[in-house]
Amino acid sequence: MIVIRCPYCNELRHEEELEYGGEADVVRPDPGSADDIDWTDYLYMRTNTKGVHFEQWCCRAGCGQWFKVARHTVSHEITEVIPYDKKFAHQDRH
Amino acid sequence: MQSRSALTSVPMGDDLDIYEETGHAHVLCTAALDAGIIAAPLGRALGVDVPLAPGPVMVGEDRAAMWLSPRSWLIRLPEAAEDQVMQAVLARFPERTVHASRYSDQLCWLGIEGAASADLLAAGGFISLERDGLPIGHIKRTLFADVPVLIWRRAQSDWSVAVERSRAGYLAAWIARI
Amino acid sequence: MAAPSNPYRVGEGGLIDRTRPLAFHFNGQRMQGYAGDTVASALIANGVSLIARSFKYHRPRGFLGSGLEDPNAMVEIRDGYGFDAAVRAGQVRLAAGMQVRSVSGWPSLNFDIGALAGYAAKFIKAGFYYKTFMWPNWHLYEPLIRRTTGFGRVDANARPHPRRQHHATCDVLIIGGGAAGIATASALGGSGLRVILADDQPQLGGSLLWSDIEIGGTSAAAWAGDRQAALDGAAAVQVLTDTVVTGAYEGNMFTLLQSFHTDGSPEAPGGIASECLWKLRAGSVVLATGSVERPLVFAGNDRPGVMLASAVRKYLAVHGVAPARELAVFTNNDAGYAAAFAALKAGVRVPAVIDVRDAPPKEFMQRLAAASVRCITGAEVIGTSGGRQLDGITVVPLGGGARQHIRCDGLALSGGATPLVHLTAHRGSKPVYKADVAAFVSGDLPEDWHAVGDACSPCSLSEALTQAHDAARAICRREGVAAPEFSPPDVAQTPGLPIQAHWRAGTGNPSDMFVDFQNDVTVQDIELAVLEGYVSVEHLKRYTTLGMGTDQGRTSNINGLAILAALTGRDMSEVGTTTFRPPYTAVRLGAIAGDRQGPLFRPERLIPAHALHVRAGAVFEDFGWQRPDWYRSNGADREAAVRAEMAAVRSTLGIFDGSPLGKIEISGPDAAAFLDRFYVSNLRTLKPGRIRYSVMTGEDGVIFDDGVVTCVDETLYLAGPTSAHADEVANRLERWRQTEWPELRVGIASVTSNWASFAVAGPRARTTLAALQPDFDVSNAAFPHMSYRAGRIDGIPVRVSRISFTGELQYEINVPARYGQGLMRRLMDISEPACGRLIGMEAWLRLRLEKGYLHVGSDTNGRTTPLDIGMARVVAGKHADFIGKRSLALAYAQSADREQLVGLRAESGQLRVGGRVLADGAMPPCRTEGYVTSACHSPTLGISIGLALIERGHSRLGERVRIFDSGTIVDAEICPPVFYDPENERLQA
Repeated sequence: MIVIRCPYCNELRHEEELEYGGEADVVRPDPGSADDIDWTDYLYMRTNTKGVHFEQWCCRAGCGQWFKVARHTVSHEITEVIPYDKKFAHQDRH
Repeated sequence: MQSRSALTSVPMGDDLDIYEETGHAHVLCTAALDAGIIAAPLGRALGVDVPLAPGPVMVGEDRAAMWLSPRSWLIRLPEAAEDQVMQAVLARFPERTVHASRYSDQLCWLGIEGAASADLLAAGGFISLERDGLPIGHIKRTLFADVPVLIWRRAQSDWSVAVERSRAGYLAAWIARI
Repeated sequence: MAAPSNPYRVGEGGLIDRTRPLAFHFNGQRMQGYAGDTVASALIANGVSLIARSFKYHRPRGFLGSGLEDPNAMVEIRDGYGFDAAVRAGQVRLAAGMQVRSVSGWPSLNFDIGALAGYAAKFIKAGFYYKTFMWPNWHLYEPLIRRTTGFGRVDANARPHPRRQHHATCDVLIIGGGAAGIATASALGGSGLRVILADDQPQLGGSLLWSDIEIGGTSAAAWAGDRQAALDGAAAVQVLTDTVVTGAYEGNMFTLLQSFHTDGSPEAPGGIASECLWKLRAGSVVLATGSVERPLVFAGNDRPGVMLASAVRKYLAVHGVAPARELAVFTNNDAGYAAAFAALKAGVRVPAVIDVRDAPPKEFMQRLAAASVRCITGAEVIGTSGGRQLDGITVVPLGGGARQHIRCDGLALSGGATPLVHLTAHRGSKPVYKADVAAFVSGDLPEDWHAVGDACSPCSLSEALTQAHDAARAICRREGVAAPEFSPPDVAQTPGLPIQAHWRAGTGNPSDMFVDFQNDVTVQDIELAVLEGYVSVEHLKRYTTLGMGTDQGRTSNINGLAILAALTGRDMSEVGTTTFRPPYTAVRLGAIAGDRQGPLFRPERLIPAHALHVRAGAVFEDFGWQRPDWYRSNGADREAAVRAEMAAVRSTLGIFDGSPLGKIEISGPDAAAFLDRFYVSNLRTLKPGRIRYSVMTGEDGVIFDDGVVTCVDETLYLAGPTSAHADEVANRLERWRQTEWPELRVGIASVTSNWASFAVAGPRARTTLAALQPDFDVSNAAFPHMSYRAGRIDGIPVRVSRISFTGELQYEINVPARYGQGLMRRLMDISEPACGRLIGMEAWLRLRLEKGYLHVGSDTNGRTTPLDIGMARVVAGKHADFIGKRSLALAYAQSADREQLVGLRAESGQLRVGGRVLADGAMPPCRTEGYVTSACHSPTLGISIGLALIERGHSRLGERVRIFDSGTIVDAEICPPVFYDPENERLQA
């Protein structure tokens, strides 16, 4: 039972209220210029991390907002929860 | 001016009273821009300020504004004011940077009162995962008996629970079972 | 004096109420116990020692433990409330009128035909079933094997117990109400923090209830009682007895199972009155679950009469029951002595205490000597004798020597304490081995957890109380409240000596040395597993089934992996433990389901005019919503009604409730640009008041949904997704708005339930709409096909779309939901003279099939793209990007071999959904090249028609194919999918 505090409605939400949205920061390539490999990578290729995974969640039964979460895929420890338009800490450093 | 309907009159004993709240109209306001830009003129069009943050319901003289998401609000108002408010919002936002949708029939509002009300709500789901619970005067969206609802805590043991009308029958049956 | 019916009840003592006898039945035999008994203690009091036959070998088994750790004592129970197929006798409180039966042993427990398997035991080794019954197919043998093994049977007629569910939060959850848990709760009692203390027993105290230690000058049991009374009076403390914490999850979420019992008074029948499943979120957590005792492993250690020392003490002290008349003790630590002293105190003869240690504590030796009890040190038990009941043991010095036989009918075993760390393991914490206490203890604790007492590491009572106090202080510090004033009481306890690990007997037959009693896993099975290379503890578990029983290896896991470690020459820490997962103990599925059964199984959705449809004779079907499938008022049976409904639409008028159709308002300056990115069709050219049909694909180009989009004006559009996808489409629009295109000025409002929606279809649709007297012109010129009008009828706001799903002239009339019944009644009144009919889903879907309109999900599958359904021109004509467009340019989407949607006309027989199109006209078995996606008899054409996805279908129009379905073959011709009015004259009339 994953519990995440939604950064938009500020409520603690448990996983029945949440929707998982897959890996975060997968960039949609420009469909006009992307070649087949770029495009199918965008569609199907994911990092499948064992460790800290950057991912998207939605406050589905709450305010309906999508946000981003850093979660350890083994321990489920959640180290960062940020609004969708913000960057994870490690991204800020670069 | 709240009226009670016998539609969902569930006999519950002395410490619990459940009824359908009727007699209000509701309008859903959806913004196409960040709330900060439109909140003030929207409040003027509605006759009640819209809250910019989740939690407390903004209660005006005869209407109330509830935060649903960063860009949407549910407005409770007298039935007679519904058309006028719809027009006022359109007049204020002709490009529909805020849009008012008819919503009076979307939700069924149940009043749940009495000493046993908190236990009833706790049977259907977490009223709040916060250790302090849901403060009086606040509203939140969550799941209750697997059904999406709005829960507005009116007083210590006085709650308004809104459920999409198509699921109201299920919820009433679920409550009656408890 | 013991009651004559209770030959094993001791004269006095225990927490039972001897003034309240309770009658019950065991295997049809009338017996008596007392209020406060468990089913196990009552059975022992009545002289029952054989409780079950073992799982694999059908060996006789007795009570090894006293509660949820007991691997043997599974029984079925019928009480005043219901029936339980398999519960542990020590976990059920006795109630008047209970019918208790053994669950294993056929035809009877004492004469078990399956026990013959015991003589064949040498052939039933680890992996036996899998190895022997692999060919040709395990499933052939499974039913036969299942009948002679396993636990319990299901009574389909039994009423389930009432179940409740509860959700709660607290500041501190204390798990376990023994010494450490009580002390922590007491220390936090005045802090103002909201504390929940959960314990699986009917009263708090844990092992204090059978301890001979004094706390603060009173007996441990009395101290526990006083503390419980104080806690019950503390406002912020909630004590939950009879409550097991069954799972620990992320975010300090827990599941708890609380049960409510009655013992059978005139007002209430006896039994488990109800259960409540809690979901609880805690701030801080105190793990005070204590430990469970391990048996020792030697040949014949499973004979009835052999029991854990802690169970002996509990039966004596709590239930006033002596499990034996002559009780020997076999131990490798101090706990065995406490059992000997308790037995002596209760008047049970103790012939000997056998300790593997050379030098037990002197004080114990002296006390035994004073009672004329032999203490055999540096020795071990290597065998037992007796049939279905122990009558003696064989003892030999460690390292060999002269054997001696000791007569006894009971043997108390103490192989050391195993801390109950399952809940930390649920959170992913790996237990670590601590050699000085010969136990696995918790590894790193989850955040805000504290482990105290034996749950932390086997320890003395005073250590446990000090840890409890420290934990309470730490919690108060963390929460910023005043530190507790409570201080740990004085404890009078003799300092003990360390345990001496002793994992298995040095001699004896390994196939008689039981490690897992429930699953009949012996030392020999582990040896065999190692020999065959199963040296990982997880492999060992799955190969031998060690620890996979309903007791989850509570008493067997550690012994098993210690033996594995020895056989493979590794340290205990190297071997590690298997993974403990929730639930901690068996939870009835009914408790998890709670109210979600029968009509409340899952939230159902009703249309606004539901009651009126009921009165009109609707037969409902669940399409996510309860929708009329057909109407009894239209025909005697479904087929007749459906044909009458279809005929009404084609000839006069049909009224169809389409309220579940999605209604999403997309508003704002960029609404058109935004919507255009989701649909295959160009929506930027859609004019106010006009409607366009289109499909929506995923980013992979596969069709997700279809529907119509209405332009109300330049800044307001209505999307009309299918009812099945209404919520998903709204969520999808919202997700892309938030995450991909936040710069677009657009708002999305889902208003599906606000509106009741009725379609009127047929030649008389326009006169019907006109009869409602809307405030707008409904003439064909003013209100053409694929257009929209908003206005009022009788002052009520209405939205009317002229669209067609049936191929006929059709309007969809929307009114606020409260007016739905009123509108339906008026439409029925208006159409009655013209013989209009209500139309159900089945007729509606057949009408659209005649028209060749596809039904997403039926006529499309997880691969179908817009190109496959004949929308290639639309796709090619749209220059702007839309979600999924790029994927349609990929080679696989462009391939000529794809399955494409076409029509089928049967030349013989009836087409049915799922029929396979045979390749090259061959006979099956052969390759097929597509399948029928929709089919019905067309009243209009008088033949069976269908839609099908067929490889290269678009280029095969006119070709004859053979369709195979359940043994029959239908000849059909591939044709364009439109069967009815291909020129669209009727819907534009």
